[in-house]
Amino acid sequence: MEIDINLSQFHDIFFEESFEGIEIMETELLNLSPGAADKETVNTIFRAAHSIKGSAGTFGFSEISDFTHNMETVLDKMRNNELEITQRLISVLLSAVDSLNNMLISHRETKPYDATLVENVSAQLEKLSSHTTTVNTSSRHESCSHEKQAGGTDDSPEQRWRIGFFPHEKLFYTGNDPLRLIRELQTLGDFAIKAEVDNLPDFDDLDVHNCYLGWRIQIQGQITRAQIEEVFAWVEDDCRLEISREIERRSTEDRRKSPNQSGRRKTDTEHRSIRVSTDKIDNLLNLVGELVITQSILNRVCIDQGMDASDKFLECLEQLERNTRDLQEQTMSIRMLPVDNAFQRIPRIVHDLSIAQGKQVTLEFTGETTELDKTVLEKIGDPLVHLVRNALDHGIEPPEIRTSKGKPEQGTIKINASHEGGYVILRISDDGNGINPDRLLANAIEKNLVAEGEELSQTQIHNLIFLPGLSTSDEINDVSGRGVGMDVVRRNISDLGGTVDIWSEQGVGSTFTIRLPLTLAILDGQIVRVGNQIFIMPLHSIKETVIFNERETNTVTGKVELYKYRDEYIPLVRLHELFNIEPEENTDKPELLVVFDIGDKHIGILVDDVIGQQQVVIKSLETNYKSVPGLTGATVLGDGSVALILDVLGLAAQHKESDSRVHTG
Amino acid sequence: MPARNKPATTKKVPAVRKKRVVKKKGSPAKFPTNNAGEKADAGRQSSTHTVTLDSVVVINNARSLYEEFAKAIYTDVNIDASAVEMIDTAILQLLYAFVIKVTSTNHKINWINPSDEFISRTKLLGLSRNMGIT
Repeated sequence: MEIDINLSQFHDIFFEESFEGIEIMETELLNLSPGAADKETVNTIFRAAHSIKGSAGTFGFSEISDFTHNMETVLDKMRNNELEITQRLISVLLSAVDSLNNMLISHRETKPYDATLVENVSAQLEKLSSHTTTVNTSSRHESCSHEKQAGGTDDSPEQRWRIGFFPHEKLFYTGNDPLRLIRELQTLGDFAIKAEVDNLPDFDDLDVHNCYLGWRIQIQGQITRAQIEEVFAWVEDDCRLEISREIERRSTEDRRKSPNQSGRRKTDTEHRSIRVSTDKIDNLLNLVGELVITQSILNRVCIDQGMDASDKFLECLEQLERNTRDLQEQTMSIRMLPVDNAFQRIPRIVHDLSIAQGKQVTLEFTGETTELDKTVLEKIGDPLVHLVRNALDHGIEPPEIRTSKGKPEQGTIKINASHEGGYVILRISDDGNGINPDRLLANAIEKNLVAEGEELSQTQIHNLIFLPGLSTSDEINDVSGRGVGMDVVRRNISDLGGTVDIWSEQGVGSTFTIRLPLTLAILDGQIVRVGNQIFIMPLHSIKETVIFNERETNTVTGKVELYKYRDEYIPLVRLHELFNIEPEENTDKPELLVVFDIGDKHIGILVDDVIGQQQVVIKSLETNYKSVPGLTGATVLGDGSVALILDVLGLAAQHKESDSRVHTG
Repeated sequence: MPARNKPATTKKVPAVRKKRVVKKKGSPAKFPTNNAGEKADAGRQSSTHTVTLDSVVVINNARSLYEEFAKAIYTDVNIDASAVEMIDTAILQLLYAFVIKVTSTNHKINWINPSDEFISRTKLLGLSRNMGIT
């Protein structure tokens, strides 16, 4: 009987899994060292390629399947010691991974891909695989014979594995006997087993044809993951299998990785998880947001009704508030991912760039498990890559120069993530040459961004690097030096509600510190009133609120208004004028100036009244209306009214566009 | 497609031979006691069941073996595993559940000359210690 299945419904999953495979291949290729025979790493790459090949064939993507087959052939020879692992070989395979990635993107977006490039890489792969004559070319479409061969060999390193084997209840019905599998596993090495009997019912309730037992096994020897998986191959759909390699416990902070040595991937750990579309999570988050608002309105109604604190209804409401808060926190946590996801592109970039520039670089990651909202994580990738590229290109010196300065030949780029006071801090530091402040200032004066003779602090000079068109690099190359990018880096980070600071010392190195909010979905807000309109301001960047004095204002070049705040002139924003709001009349109350920290600058926003503080759920204006300059979104307050959330960084940027020189003063 | 779901061995053999041993009149009942020295289960029967496992005892025999065991829960039980040459997980799981049940009612399990194969398979599944097999 033929069964008609529409395979296109599985395409999204295919692409998602294939891109995961691409990531694994790239990471593991970067782990390979020329001359070394790390069979487990090659096997991991092989399995990722094999999986993509098989799925691509199933879905009819024959070009992908054929191309991956060429990669497989080379990888097969590598693991059989028929091909020596050289830098050239690794580079060709990395190019192949890039080509495969492009092919996948093209197929997903139903666009053509660069066939010439793919053919070139294919030719290089075939050239590599033709180095020996023992390859069985008839095995082009074999199913899983490669996997079966992925066994341990005498040169596999001694490893200790932890295996959790939990058969489904109906395992016996498939004719499989755990005892047989465990006996086979035992033959691989030193073996210890513990039966898990928690699911075994009382004898009276026992169904003798069901399997209730599970096992935790430790096994040690020259064993590969493939060998273990092979033992359980026939029951993989009828059990939960957890395989993890026991590694020497080291502090995350101690982990040192270079482009050629890093072992950052967690490919040996099986995660118990399900794949859920982010749309579903966002919808859930949205609904929880609505619940928080409703709960807040309910609170307000009770207060307005003058309910007594001892009222049972209020008691229940308090419980509801606690539960809602917990639910919101849990829902938010679903969107949180380890920052490691944003680091994945970096080893490859450092690898390629260090080879291209003849530099030696060690890349160190710490705090990779720090969690960050998925949206923030996706948007921070590009700025991170830019900063790392700059560190390698401008910061780290060539080995001979480093040696002449008494530094080690190998430079170091450190990337650290950590939580600090409700924010995630990312630090990108290098031990390179640092920024030359004299050259940077000279450049800024030359480009008329700073007035000659203007006195700037060291920090202010360093911050000039974020102005458009400025660079400290002597030469322009295809990596950096055009002064394009650092302003975009700051802008991208600002868009995420974050800030970026710089520290640098000539000859010692530079550190960029990025401060990001944990999430973009909720905000600790300051509620203010302008006329009859309520606005929300981000509480975290408010420095202070002062009584406004009209006499302290000053207008520069006829368009930018400044306010004398303590010893400096800061940009002044009048929300009445900006949003066309009728000002309050006949009031004795003085206007208030809310002063914000924007990096090392300040900006003042004029309001009629400061009402209170509240955590608000951010609703997108773009989704529900349209993007409005100066606003990041809207929220619903406890009384059911809508309040607009100010984009303070955007307002500051608007000022900067009016007169960028104001900010350097 | 390889034969993935290979059926379990189905050799038709009687799985168990039973033999009821009734204690002689007058022999003192050795009731286990709790900390207070009182009889822990005054209501238990004083008879002992002996269950003899055949050389091949596998999942096909599980139902009949379960029924046989069910009759012996509230007695001391001798299990003769001396002839066992082949036993599978389903039966070892059943034996485990039975042993736990019997001992929870303060009765005893006595293993009679378990064969090497029986011992090794029980150990292989990590069940030997809790079943009292060494």
